[in-house]
Amino acid sequence: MDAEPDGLLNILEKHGAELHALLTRLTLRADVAEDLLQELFLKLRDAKAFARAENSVAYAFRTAINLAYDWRRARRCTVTLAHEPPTAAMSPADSLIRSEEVDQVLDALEWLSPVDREIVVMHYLRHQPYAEIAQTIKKTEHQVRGLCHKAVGRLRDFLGAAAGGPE
Amino acid sequence: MRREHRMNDNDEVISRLEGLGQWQPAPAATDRALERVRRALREPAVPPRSKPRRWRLPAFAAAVLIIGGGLGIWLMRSSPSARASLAEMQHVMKEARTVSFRQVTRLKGKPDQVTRMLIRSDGVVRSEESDGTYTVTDMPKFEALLVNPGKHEATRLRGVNVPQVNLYEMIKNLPADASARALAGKTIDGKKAFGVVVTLQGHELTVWADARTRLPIRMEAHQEEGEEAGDAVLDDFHFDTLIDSNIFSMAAPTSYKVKTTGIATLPPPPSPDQAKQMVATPLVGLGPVRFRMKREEVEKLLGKPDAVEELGPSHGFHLNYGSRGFFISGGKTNGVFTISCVSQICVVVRVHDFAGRTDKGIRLRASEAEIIKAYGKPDQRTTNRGSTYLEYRKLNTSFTLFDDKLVEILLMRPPPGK
Repeated sequence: MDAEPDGLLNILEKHGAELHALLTRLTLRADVAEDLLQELFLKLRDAKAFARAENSVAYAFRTAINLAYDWRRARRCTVTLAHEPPTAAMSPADSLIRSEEVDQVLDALEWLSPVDREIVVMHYLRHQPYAEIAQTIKKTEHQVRGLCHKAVGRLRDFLGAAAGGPE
Repeated sequence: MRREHRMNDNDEVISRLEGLGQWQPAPAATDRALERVRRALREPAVPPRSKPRRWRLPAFAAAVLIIGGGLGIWLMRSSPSARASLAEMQHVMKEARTVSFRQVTRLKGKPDQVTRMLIRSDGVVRSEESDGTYTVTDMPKFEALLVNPGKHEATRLRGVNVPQVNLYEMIKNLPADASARALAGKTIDGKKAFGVVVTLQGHELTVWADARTRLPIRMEAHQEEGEEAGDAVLDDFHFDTLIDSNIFSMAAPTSYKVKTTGIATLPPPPSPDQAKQMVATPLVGLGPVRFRMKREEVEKLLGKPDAVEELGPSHGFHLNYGSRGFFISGGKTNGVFTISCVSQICVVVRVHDFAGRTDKGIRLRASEAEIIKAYGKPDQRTTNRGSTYLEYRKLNTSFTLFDDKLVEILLMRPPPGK
């Protein structure tokens, strides 16, 4: 097993929980997130690009996002497997997770470019500040703010919310 | 004003995203997911075997890997339209405790190989060959018993590097990604069946299941090129039938001559300081061990090996220092003649990866380019089934790589006078 500081096991121990949380947020399915987490690490183990990556942690998270979206794309074509309906006993957070609106937003994210999607996911689902995102994707903080704002605007458009006025 | 209006519209989207970002999965779910990854990463990736090393597992290992690995990959790549079918199979398989099937392997230019497999859900597997020999493998215990009734002999292998695959577990933990495609249904042996096709490491695996019971009834794999071009068909599946538990016994039949080899428990790996001393020098040796040293000298310098095997009537020796990632072989008279420093990925027995280096700083996982930079262009470079061999004749040394990562350093005794 890789014993280097950013080796696979190290990433699992330091960032595994966050990766799992991210996959769960992107799929809204605990069972799917568990499977995708395993798939992610097996993929990273075999990926030459991961071994060469300048920032292996960022690579791992990017791959996780892509895996989740591959799953979401595929899922659209099928009858959804049994999905627990909201119940009165659920917490507000659980209700939110299971709400159709959240699913719509996640679906809408698919229509963004991979970079825009990554920025939105990193900022809102991973709570990363713009400065940190900028460092990861090698843009300025100002650029990242702008891209994020535009991306969210596109999500709004996609979701058919009330149109804003012209710029 | 205009900007504020846009912000309000965005707020709804942002609030959904922020709300989602606050949500955390249950700690138990995260712990389970992480542990599952740790287990998966402990399993070595299974490359095609490049050259036979030490013990060869019989065909069942390949069969189990096809089944386990194939199904594993199949599950991970199931198409959306197929997932309902796979989920149904998954649910039904969860209830079964044994499964048996027949595997017929047809390789070009070779006679058909027929193997009967019996798999118990606790990880004990029995494979029976058409010549009467059979093997029982206890995967959780890394142990296998090879029995040859024709010779009244049995070999017990301890510390076998078997993947920790569990057929039922693999079906149960159905990943949701999708690349498999569903097939039109057909009738197989009078039963209506539905099928899916998945791609396993570039090869297609077709799985057919009974439309009524949702259990697999046939699987087909085909390989067009290479040394093992041919087909494998798995059929005659039986689930949860009454099977005499004695056939899964790891005890050798009475009165058989039993040879035991390998180690039951792998000792811990060397410390970093100990690993530093392990320098493999072509034409010289490994650490303090020199070519031509007698076995007693080696053991005095390195300590007792994890296991010892005597080779042939001339009482050669094979010293297993697998916990330190190397093996030393030699003759009784002429002493040490080969030293092999290995990665788990290329040996059948359980080892710790060799943590030392060569005299020029080459360590396991080094690339071909790094090796060439250190030792120059090899005298011969060959590839076989994904493995690359670099041979340096003047150094009596070869390097084996898989997927451009060094997995074995083999040093051989120099000719006399060198």
